[in-house]
Amino acid sequence: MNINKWLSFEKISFMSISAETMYKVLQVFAWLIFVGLCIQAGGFLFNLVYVLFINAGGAANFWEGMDLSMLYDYEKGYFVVITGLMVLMAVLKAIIFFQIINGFMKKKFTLDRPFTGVMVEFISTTAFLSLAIGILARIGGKIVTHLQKQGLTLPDSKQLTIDGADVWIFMGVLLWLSVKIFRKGMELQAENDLIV
Amino acid sequence: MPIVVNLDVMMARRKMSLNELSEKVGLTLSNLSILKTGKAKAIRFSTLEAICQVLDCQPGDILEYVNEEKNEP
Repeated sequence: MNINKWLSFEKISFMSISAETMYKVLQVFAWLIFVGLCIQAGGFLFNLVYVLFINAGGAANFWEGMDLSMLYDYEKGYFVVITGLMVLMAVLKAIIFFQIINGFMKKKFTLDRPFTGVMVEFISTTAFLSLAIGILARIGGKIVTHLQKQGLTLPDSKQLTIDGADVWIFMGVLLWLSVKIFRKGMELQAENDLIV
Repeated sequence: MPIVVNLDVMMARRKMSLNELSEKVGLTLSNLSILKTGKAKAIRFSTLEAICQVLDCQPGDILEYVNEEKNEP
């Protein structure tokens, strides 16, 4: 009997420690990804402005050896659209991670009362952003394929960081469904609070 | 709601404060307050049993059905 009690106590404390550690690890990862995405978005934007207004030769080494000179020479408009999509997607991804960090910092994610309006707002915003990224990635992918059919040599979607449309859309749909579940959860939680 | 909670009446009869009842029943003050003010949507049998035991009364002494339609002029 005592051993069972001790085992259950050990299990609970082990679980709480690991959950806390996981919480911190996730926070560190979210920060790292957020900073990386901000640098990427800023870099894309700076290089776009630099190539358009200062030095067109910069398109040959747009980002980490990415050669977009052929695209720039072919049609300036396409160059702006593709790089604009890259900037926009990086910014949207950064916003998602900013939201996660904000949630961690302001302690919005509580396991005691998970079904809150704040949580629903967080998930619905993330779902909307994921869907937006997915749609933009899909559009970008189609444009890249169209240009490649025209005979242009372009880096692939992955290198252009506009890949993974299906995954983003899938995530968006799943999160949207989660919002519905959380809304129901909020109602049940509110009712449960009034059961004495 | 047609179910009226007469907890305050029973507490007054037994001369028991909310704090004392909370301690003896093992309910939080906020939950007891929800019950007392009639905001509660449901009451567990275990809670009712504990309250009846502490106040030495029957469930009918705490809960009362009032037909609102009959009482309306």
